[in-house]
Amino acid sequence: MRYLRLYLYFLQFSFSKALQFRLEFTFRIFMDLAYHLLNLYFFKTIFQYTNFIEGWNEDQVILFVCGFILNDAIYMTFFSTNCWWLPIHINKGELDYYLTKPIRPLFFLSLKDFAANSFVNLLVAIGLFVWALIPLWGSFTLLKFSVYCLLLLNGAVLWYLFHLLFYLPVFWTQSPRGFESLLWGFDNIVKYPHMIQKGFLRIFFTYILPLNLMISFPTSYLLSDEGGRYFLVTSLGLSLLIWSIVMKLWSMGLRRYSSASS
Amino acid sequence: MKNLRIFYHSFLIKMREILAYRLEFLAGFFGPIAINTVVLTMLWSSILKYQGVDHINGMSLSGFVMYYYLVSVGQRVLIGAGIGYISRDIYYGEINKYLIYPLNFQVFKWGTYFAPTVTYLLQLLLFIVLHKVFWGNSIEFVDLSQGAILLLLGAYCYFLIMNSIEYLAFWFENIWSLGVSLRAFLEFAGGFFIPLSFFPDAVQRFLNFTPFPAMLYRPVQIILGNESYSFLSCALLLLFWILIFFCLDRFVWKLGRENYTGVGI
Repeated sequence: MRYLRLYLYFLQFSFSKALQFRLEFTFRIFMDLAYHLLNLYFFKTIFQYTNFIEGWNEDQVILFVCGFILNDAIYMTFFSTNCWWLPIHINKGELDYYLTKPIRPLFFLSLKDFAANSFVNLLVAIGLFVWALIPLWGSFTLLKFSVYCLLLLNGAVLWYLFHLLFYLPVFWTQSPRGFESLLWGFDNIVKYPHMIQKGFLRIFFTYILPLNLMISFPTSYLLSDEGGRYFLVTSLGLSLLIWSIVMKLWSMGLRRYSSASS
Repeated sequence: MKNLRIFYHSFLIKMREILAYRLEFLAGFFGPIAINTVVLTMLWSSILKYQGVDHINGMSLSGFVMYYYLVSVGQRVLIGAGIGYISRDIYYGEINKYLIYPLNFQVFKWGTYFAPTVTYLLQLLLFIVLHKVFWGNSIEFVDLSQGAILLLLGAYCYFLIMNSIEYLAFWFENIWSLGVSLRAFLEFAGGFFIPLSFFPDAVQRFLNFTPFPAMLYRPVQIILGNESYSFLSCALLLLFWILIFFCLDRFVWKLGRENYTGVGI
């Protein structure tokens, strides 16, 4: 309850801060919209040359893409600004401020900035998602759809955890941005259905660095007639594992952290 | 001569900064390019297999591999130092020193921007030469050199466009999103995700009114030996865009400086 109240304060501060700079507010809306539309147009162009991508037709792939857009919008709204600042705080020794507060530092650092401008895009992303669902509505049960939505949410949290995984090495390397540039490359793995990956790559991105769990597995769960249980169990099991690894890394990092100011 | 010395020193400083964190540098240097090439090739491989054909729109699987490698590394050559290399100086008031020191600000920044550009260009040249020696490819040395020159011109053009956006930090608190949008347009209109010949004719015609195809897609086509594109016309087109964005760059810089109030002087 205390954390919920605190989060409401974070929201309040974020909205009042965002509305002070109204033109900048629109810049990010423009950026996210352009990104979403280009993603959709990419697949629309691909489907001029084929009718299926690994067994998925255009409607199914568009649902996958809109799932990706929704996932990205959730991450951008709730976590992105905070993730951006995290390596800077660690590097400059500014964590002291967060460590001395009587709340969990990772909660504070991960959620203090709510991107109010990306919230507008979250609404657009939800609209696109509903639009993509319409042609497929009726081909799955309501229960399956509810689980799918939960798995998509889980995917957004996973994307945040992957960011932490690539930023936290800053505790040891003292580099300015950790392995951020590599992570941006992995964005491309998430954007395409996992079935296009073959052999070792599919194993790697399913079990070792499980980026396939973010959107491709939830969509496969929704669209598959059988085998849905595999996608569900793998997604939940591996998400828990990633969560524990990140928490372990965070506490190891904190032990390693040497403040610059105190 | 003085400008050349400034350029040389700023270039060296940036190179040292890049190489200071070697593990991160190597991961970022090879990782995203390899991932992009592999993933997009796998996508087209799956489509070729489903359609039961060897070519789509004149491109074979090996053609896709080489194309996606070249656009991935070419995009890195163009985006150089990325986003925030001027706006950060403006926000933190660090631009004061550039204003009072006797140096050309644009030359200094071009030196720092150029350092990552050179590292990726070297990767491209080295990869193509090694690939030719060990596996053999049909890329000619002349085409490779011409493509490399065009990518350098493209990098300078992109730098000038990016500068104009960075200078907006004189007025606005956050210009990061505009920089990301510019990159997204470069990727779309430069053929980073899909070769431009795959787009409908109307879209291709529209994109040709922007500088992006000349910055990325055409240099890559020239490296691949596509005879529909000539080095001279692409170079002239890029010089035309450079002239336009150079004027814009100086104009916005002048306006911004007049608007700037340095804190702490």
